[in-house]
Amino acid sequence: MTMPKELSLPTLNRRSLLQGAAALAAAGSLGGISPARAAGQVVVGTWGGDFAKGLGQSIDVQMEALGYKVVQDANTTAARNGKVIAEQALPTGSFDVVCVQPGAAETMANAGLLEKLDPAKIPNLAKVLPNLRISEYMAPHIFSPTVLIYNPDTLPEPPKSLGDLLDPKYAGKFAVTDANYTIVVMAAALYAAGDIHAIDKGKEVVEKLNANGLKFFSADMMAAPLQTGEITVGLLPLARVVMWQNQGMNIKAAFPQEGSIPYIDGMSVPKNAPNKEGAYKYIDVMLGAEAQRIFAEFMGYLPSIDDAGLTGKTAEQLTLPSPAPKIVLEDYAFTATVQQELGEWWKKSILGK
Amino acid sequence: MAEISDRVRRQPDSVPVGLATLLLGPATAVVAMAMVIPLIAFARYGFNSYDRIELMKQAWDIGNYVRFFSDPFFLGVLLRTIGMAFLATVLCLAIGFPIAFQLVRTQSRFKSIAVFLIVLPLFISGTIRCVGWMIVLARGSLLDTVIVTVSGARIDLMHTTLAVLFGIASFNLPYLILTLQSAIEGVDMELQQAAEGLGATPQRAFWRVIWPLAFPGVVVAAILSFVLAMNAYAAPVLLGGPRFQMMAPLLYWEFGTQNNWPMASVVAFVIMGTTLLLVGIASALLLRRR
Repeated sequence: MTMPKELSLPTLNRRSLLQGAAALAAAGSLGGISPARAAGQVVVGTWGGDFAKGLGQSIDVQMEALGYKVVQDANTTAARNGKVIAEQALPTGSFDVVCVQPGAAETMANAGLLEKLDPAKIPNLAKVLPNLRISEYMAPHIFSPTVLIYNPDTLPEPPKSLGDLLDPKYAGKFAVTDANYTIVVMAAALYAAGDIHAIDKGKEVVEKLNANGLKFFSADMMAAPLQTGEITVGLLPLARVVMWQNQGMNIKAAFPQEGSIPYIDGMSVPKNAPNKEGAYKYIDVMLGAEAQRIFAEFMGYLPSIDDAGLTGKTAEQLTLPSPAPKIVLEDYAFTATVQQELGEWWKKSILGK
Repeated sequence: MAEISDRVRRQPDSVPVGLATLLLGPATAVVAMAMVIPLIAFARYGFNSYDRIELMKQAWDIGNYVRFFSDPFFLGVLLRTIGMAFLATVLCLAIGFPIAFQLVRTQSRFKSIAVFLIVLPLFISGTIRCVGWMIVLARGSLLDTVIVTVSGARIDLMHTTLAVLFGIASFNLPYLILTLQSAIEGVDMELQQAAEGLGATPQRAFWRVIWPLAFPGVVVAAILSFVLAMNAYAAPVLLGGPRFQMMAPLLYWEFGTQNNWPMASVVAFVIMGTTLLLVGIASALLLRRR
């Protein structure tokens, strides 16, 4: 199975073993000092539910062993980003680390709200897959290609392209998530013009899909309509397929031939973070092989580093098919320039029709 | 007993105005600090302008209000919100008044249990109750199965106006029933007996005696339901889906997705202004006339 170098699956190497050993030695050398007092508290703004649980198991446990107390502030993306924006004038904000998507990181970095991440303080940044080095203000945590998911029981032959879903046989049977509308439009642009920047052509395709009965479900809610046959195809990150397969559901993924746009989550440090050193350490641990491996096993997202050391069932599930599918990254700087207009068009011309 | 009542009635007069002001001052200041000042600050945002880089630029511009009131999309969302709030209030009154009336009249030893059952939903958050409705209305649910079995056809219940209406009404109903119950309890039920004793039918006694006396309470309960429905968020989002657009979800979208805080402020103050205006008109027409 061949894959692009930047997307090859990570393995545990000598460097991470040595780092792990050093971390253990450092933790041991603290002796009788209370861990929380030794290194301080790190407040992480994150999603709740499984995501927060995954962070707890993969990162928080290691941070606590290093003497940090990690506090999770779980909320929605909008509430989390809103808090960072609202607190910009304060000398110290609520978060040390904030979980962000690249588009939001771009917006907040442009507004001067995020700290530029210093590779000297976050050594593991060097291990990030080259294609995911998209911002100096955000460390990528996970990614997952957006794919066409389907239930083989109701749809034996999956669509090969987003354009196939314009066929009347998919009328009312295709669903996307409202929250990730930029990915939907760019996936359509990729189909229509082979270029994610061809927004106008992408919009035309989405309008045609809408006229063909496009449906909307949140990512969490899409498994049920796929199972009942209410829809036969959805556009979601591959991670969801892995998660539902692990829950025993018969759901499969098809990579659109025009290319898949990866869904990416990352972490940033607000400029007014109270404990920046702790934040850097948290991000460094997040980019470590152990944290990446545990999170991948738990949530089904691909690691953002080159040596996570996935093995067994997780490695098998997360290995991209051969020949390697075409992966096209979103241009977040471009997205930031069109986001307002695109959002309004989506609200009025797609949801409002 | 009469002396005690007199004393209680006279008591407010015995507190000097200066002392009363002094005692109320701190609490008023806290309310002003916690509510009025943030409200003024947020109202100010509505006159700022959105900027892609800085997100919000200081300005004194009514452009956001002009944009709202000149855009058919925004006006459509506002009208839909008013319509849904009105329908939900009518539905709540139609269901709630008979229940509240019966609660007042009943001498049953189970009355306290009935009141408890009405209050019980308030122990569960509105969002969770909407999730419950999602389970009831989803495809493959018991209700869906019954409809398909009986009619032979499938009717989509989720993401419909009806689903949102039921969601809002079920959220408002306990508040409305409790308010109505309290209003109806203030009406002397012996007046109905007196009217019936003078030859009126029970229906005529109700409509000519009880209803007019309970009417101010009904208006207050209806206003409460209307205000709650105007601000409904969970029901339109969870039961209506992304296509069903009402003002509170629109506000959250401007704030959270678009990061356009000036426009979010405008949407917020349009909701508040419209609600106050409609409530003021309703009060003037329905209460002062009487």
